[in-house]
Amino acid sequence: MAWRVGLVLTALTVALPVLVIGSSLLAPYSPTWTHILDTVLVGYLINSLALMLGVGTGTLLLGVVTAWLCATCEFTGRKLLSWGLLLPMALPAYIIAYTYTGLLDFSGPVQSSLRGWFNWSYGDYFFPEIRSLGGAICMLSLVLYPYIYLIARVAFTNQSGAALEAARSLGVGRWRTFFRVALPMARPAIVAGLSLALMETLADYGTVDYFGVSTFTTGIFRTWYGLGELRTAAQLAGFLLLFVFVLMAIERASRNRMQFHATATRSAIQRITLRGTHAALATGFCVLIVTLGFLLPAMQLLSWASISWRTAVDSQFLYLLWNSLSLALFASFICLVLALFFGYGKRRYPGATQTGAVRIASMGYAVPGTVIAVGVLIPFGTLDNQLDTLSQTLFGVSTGLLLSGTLVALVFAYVVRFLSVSLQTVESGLSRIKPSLDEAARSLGSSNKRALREIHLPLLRGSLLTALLLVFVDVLKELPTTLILRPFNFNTLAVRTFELASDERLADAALPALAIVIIGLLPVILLMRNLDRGPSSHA
Amino acid sequence: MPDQLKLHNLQVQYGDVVAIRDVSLSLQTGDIGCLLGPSGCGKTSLLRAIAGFEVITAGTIAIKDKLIASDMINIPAEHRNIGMVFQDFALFPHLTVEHNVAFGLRHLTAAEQRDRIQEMLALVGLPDVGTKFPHEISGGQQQRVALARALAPKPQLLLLDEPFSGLDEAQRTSLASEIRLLLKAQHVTALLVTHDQHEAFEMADHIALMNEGQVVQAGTGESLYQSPASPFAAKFIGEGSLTKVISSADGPPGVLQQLLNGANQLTTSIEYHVLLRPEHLVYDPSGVPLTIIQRHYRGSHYLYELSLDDGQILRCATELTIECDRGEPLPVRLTEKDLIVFR
Repeated sequence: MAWRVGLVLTALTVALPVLVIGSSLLAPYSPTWTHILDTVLVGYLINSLALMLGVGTGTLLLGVVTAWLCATCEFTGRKLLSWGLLLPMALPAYIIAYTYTGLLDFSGPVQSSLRGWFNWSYGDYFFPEIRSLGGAICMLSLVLYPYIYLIARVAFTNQSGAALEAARSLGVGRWRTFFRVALPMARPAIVAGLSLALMETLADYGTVDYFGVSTFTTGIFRTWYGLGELRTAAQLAGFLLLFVFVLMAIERASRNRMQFHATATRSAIQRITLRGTHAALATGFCVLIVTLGFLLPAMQLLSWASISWRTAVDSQFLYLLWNSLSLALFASFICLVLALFFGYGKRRYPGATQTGAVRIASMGYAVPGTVIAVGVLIPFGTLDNQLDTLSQTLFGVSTGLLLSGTLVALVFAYVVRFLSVSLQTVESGLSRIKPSLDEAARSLGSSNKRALREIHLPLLRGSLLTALLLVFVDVLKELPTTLILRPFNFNTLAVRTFELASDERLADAALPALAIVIIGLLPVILLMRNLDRGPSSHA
Repeated sequence: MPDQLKLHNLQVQYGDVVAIRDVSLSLQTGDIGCLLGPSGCGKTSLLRAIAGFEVITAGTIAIKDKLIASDMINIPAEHRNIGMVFQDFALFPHLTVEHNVAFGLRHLTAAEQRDRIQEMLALVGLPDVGTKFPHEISGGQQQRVALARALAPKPQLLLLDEPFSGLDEAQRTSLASEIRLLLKAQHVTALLVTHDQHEAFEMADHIALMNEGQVVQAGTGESLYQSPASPFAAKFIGEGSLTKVISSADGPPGVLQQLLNGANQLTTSIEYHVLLRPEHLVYDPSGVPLTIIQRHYRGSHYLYELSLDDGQILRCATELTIECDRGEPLPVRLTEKDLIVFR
């Protein structure tokens, strides 16, 4: 009973920001809202939809093609490339966006070289503007396609070779088999990956703001910072939330269908060995994507950093590093503790309430950081005001803002957003410890405590470290939440990168950006290892 | 001598669902008992209640006259000194075989532990796998290690939960008789749960047949086979058919009456059931012809499925020289005069 109450209360606390935003849709709408509705809302809507459509198409194209090539074909460099295709995950979209801006804008190396070679000058030629909706779609597609690649690759790999052979024995050719059997069988997985990519698209603030594309997230920022209208910002966030819920529903449904589509007996797929032009095309396509999505921007960052590091590595940078790392570590630790609490609660006292609590607590993964930040500001502000009034009437002392604008609010927001990441990892770790292991330990005279120490801890260690690492990196990369909730003058790597880039000090931004990318590579390496070991291996 | 294990009026309940109802059983020291029944009959719940993983709602469990569970007492599993071999073996994947076996030996010194591990591994015929991890050895070996681990702390009682279900057919039979010899040699009192009657016959001295949470019949394998006390026992054990007979004075006798003619039926009921096992029928050219609906090749013999005129099916084993096809008649005769009859 105590567990159940604890689980439900914690889950509700974690869900509070989302509930606040959701309920703000029902609150009265201020005149500002009418103004927004008349002027910019349609623009936000169109831009957000166009962005989703574009990124959806882009990630599908890149993700499905690479996944299928790597899962079912054999070509030069396949092994290396199937790892390399994950690398873009290490790049936050706002970093790749400003890197490409540096590369492609008027004074950048590409246009300068073109002008040099052809003796053009300004206005002589057409060059696509990177800072546009199209540019944002390209940038986001380049770093978000791995969501689809990852899950679709597993789906294609696990597809029963027999089903594909059955199709071919029924007289369907290799390429038609792909469209008529392989693709439909992988569709739930692809849709699940796509909805994740689209959730990230909706959550993006850095890229669209930098490129001057007005979407819901930038709108929320403008309403809050420009107009100082927190209620209206919350209502905008509420509309964004509606989009997110649709995506969540789609993702959930697809995941259920995935279980349905998983065939019990599988025979390994016979890889198609590509030759000649086909092989060259396959290799070339994958190399191109890895280059555009990771190698090129990483090299550009390195070259900028090599210019600026002498001046940039100073006490302020170290302070920045310390801020980011300690904050990320602290938040990931809290997430881990809560994840263990939920995980064990659900394991030891299974029931609908507990499962529901876990589900509510892990809603945050889909909700944009901007939305969560606004959802944290409102209840914390109310709480602060009440504390202040209380303290003034009781002691005659004003407490000011105790919670909002402090690290407490920021860490809370991180927990709301990233708890599901650690929860998933911990739950999958726990699910591998069969209940019979606990019983075996007890039938051999071991207490629960000893079983926890000698059976669970060693078996869970990997999962716990993974959970820590994943949240750590996510917090480190998170931009909009930090921007809104950070205490005055408190800076992190992500915020500093974004600020410097927004001030067009691209070279100076390279060092903190590079730090984020390097740390962001850690979970990618982890993913690569897991992908190769497969799901069944142990110890 | 006190019973090693004694269950008295045991009841286990989950919410409103009664999983075990009024079970009383006892097991003598050194005996191997078996809980046999279809899946969902409550046999595993009963085993887990004895191990201490399920709380009993009424009745008592005693080991050597010492109460370990009642409606007042519930000694935790770790203090019951009852060993258990799990269906999935439940070997600790991060520990070597040695350390798995050593897990229940904390009360011994390091040297004693080493000796005991060696002794146990030698006992199960695996003296050389000590340093391997569970995933590095075969399923049959894992099974033996699980047994060695459970026996190492010298439990007062060993429980085996469907111990052979994870193994293939060939391993199953050989391992069952091997483990029986081993347990007998060590004077281990053991209780086995299975749904497989052949396993039960192979392993156990006493079998308790369970259905719907109750023990419906207890006894040796022979007594269960030869004198089933209920239609359920008759149908569950062996390959017999429980055949419905309607006797009527008027009209010509049906095929079944012709077949049963001369059997010691001792019943005045108009309608009753009679248990006919394959060995009760033999091929006899002058017997009653029954239509063949299926012929199964069993290597050493054929098993024919024969249809009565009312559609009921009987089974009869014949030598391989008697080869008839589907739809043809097979003349058979009854060999057993003392048939089991249920009214």
